[in-house]
Amino acid sequence: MDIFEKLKILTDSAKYDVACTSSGVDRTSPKGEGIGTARSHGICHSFSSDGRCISLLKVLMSNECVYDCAYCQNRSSKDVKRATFTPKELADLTINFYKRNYIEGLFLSSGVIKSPNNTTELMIETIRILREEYKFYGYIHAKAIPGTGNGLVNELGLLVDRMSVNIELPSSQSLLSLAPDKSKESILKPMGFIKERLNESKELAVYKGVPKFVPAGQSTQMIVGASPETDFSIIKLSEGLYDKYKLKRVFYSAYTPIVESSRLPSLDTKPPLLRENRLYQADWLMRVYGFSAGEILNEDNPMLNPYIDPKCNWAVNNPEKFPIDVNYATHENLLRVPGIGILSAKKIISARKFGRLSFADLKKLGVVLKRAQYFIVCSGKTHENMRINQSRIINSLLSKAALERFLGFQQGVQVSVFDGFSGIERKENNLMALSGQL
Amino acid sequence: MNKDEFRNIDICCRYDGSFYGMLSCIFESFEKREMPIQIKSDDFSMFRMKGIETNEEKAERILNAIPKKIGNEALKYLKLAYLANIEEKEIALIHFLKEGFKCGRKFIQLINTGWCPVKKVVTGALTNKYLEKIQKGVNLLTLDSQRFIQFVRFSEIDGALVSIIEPQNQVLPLISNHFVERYPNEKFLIYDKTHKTGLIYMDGEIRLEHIEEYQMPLLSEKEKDYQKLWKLFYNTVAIEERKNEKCRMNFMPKKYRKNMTEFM
Ligand code: SF4
Repeated sequence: MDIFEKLKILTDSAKYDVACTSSGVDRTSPKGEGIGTARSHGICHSFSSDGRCISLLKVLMSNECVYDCAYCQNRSSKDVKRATFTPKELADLTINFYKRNYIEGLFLSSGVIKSPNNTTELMIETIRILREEYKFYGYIHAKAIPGTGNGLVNELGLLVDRMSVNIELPSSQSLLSLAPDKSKESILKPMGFIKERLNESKELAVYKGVPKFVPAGQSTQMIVGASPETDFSIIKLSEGLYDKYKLKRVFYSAYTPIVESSRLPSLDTKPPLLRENRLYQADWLMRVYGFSAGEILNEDNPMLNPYIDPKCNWAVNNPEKFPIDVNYATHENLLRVPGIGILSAKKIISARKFGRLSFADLKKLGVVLKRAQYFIVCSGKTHENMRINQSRIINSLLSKAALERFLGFQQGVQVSVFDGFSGIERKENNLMALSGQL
Repeated sequence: MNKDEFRNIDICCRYDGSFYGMLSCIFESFEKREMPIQIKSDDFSMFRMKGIETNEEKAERILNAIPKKIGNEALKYLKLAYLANIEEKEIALIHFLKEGFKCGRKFIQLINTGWCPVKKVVTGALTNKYLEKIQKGVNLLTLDSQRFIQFVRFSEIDGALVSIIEPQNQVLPLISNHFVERYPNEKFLIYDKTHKTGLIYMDGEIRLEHIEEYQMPLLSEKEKDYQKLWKLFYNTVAIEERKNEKCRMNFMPKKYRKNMTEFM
């Protein structure tokens, strides 16, 4: 099989993985040897027609697989054409793409060829050629295949920038039903091992020359919409993973049906993109704005609202926390105001040192008041002295049509409302596309 | 007349287009407290022309005064503005420096946040049309250079990496460091067709050179194969069910696509 066909098959079967980022480490080659750099903010080199960032050569080592995960097009029981790169082929492809400024590096995952160890050895050999023979200092992200021995995970970790173990599905019941060869334990074990090694590596970092273990940390991803978990249980799980395993990122991947199965949504189901987008927003609130999962959702209200972003939703449901005074509020509280982001909060804090800010000042600073005005006062005064009440706020945040559906949603009438709304225009989907640069 | 004010004169000052030449014009304007109606580096003007000699010493005096009186950031800003595509750039920069010397060290804050430390109010730098122009031009230049770091595409020609770009701004000086660090042991040429300038890196040395014309040489079979492989990857990695043209356009506007392999 020629390299063209291999590349096609092994890209096609890797494309549903979402974590295509090259961020988290800053590095230039020591003494100007070899080739390559890594930039901590990441660089997107192109955008595919779905608007997603292309930062890394994202391929599988092989789409052979001895496992039989129901949602996967590479599962052993499926009749598809199989291909496997040789380590040299893949290393050459990577270095040549890199030279032409197509990519920042490699994102390598794989089906399980004979055994997890066997697969990992092939991946290690590929990356070893890149790092040792080609002296490649660009970015490499590798998947740790559940079931791989600690020794090999360690070896891989010393060669790459980031490692990830996919959680795959948000609960052990779903794993059991859809990915019977994987278990919660087999996934969490390497995750735990990576975390331990990361800690050790940090302690050793004081000694020069000790090779760094996954300097850009570890991440994971899970499929959303293939199984029945609520958003609440999903973000609870993410919160736990951030806490316990010190993950850098959790990625969410809207399930795109590619296989027919009675255990899965039917083939004509649209991927729940809006839901995926809301999950990223909720995740951002937890990682960057200091919200807890319990503040965003709860048992009685377990799904993210499709009509309004999670921060607005939280604000609308917590009227007692508002209004806050921009002249005195803490940084943390400023960030909780709908419409005020990191940049606006920073501007407000640096400008108010010079004197009290009025609404006119905020406008000149470039703070967008459209939403914020309902939640803030300037030295006790509301914007244009308007009276703020709950229904006015909701009215102003939503269009009329959306409002009716929103109210229905609030009362729990349409719990499965997401299914029907993947077609809603996604204004704020930029988060997803940019994830390569965040 | 207010001593801060410059006398307007109906003269077009002409300089050689260099950075030091521009600074020499600015120096002259400050020294004589005169604001020419135009400052240009070509011969096309309806006004009476006056040639300004490039004078390194005068230029250096301005370069030295800026960090002391306004700050290093302002100097950086001035250099960026020189590279940017700004209408009436030289005149705008005289206004920029005039305001700068008046405000002192807090000037950059005015540019960045719109807070004016002299009048102690948020004025928005944007009340001054020249500052606004410069700010916009510099922002565009910065954005442009980030985009070219992403979207430059090289072809391997006889062991060297070659790329042609057509930027609106002079991005080469801003992206050169990035590529030198990325390819410390390669040879490369990035040719800016708009400004007829080449960024050349060879044997560990980097330089900018005026190149009147340059065309991409014929590609080898190996090179064509890699370009095909890249297109194949690019088209395969997209997920049909997620198609989103608007989003793609946002992050990769049409004007950048012209010389990109995946669109050729
Ligand atoms: S392990 Fe499961 S998800 Fe991974 S390639 Fe094999 S079948 Fe697919």
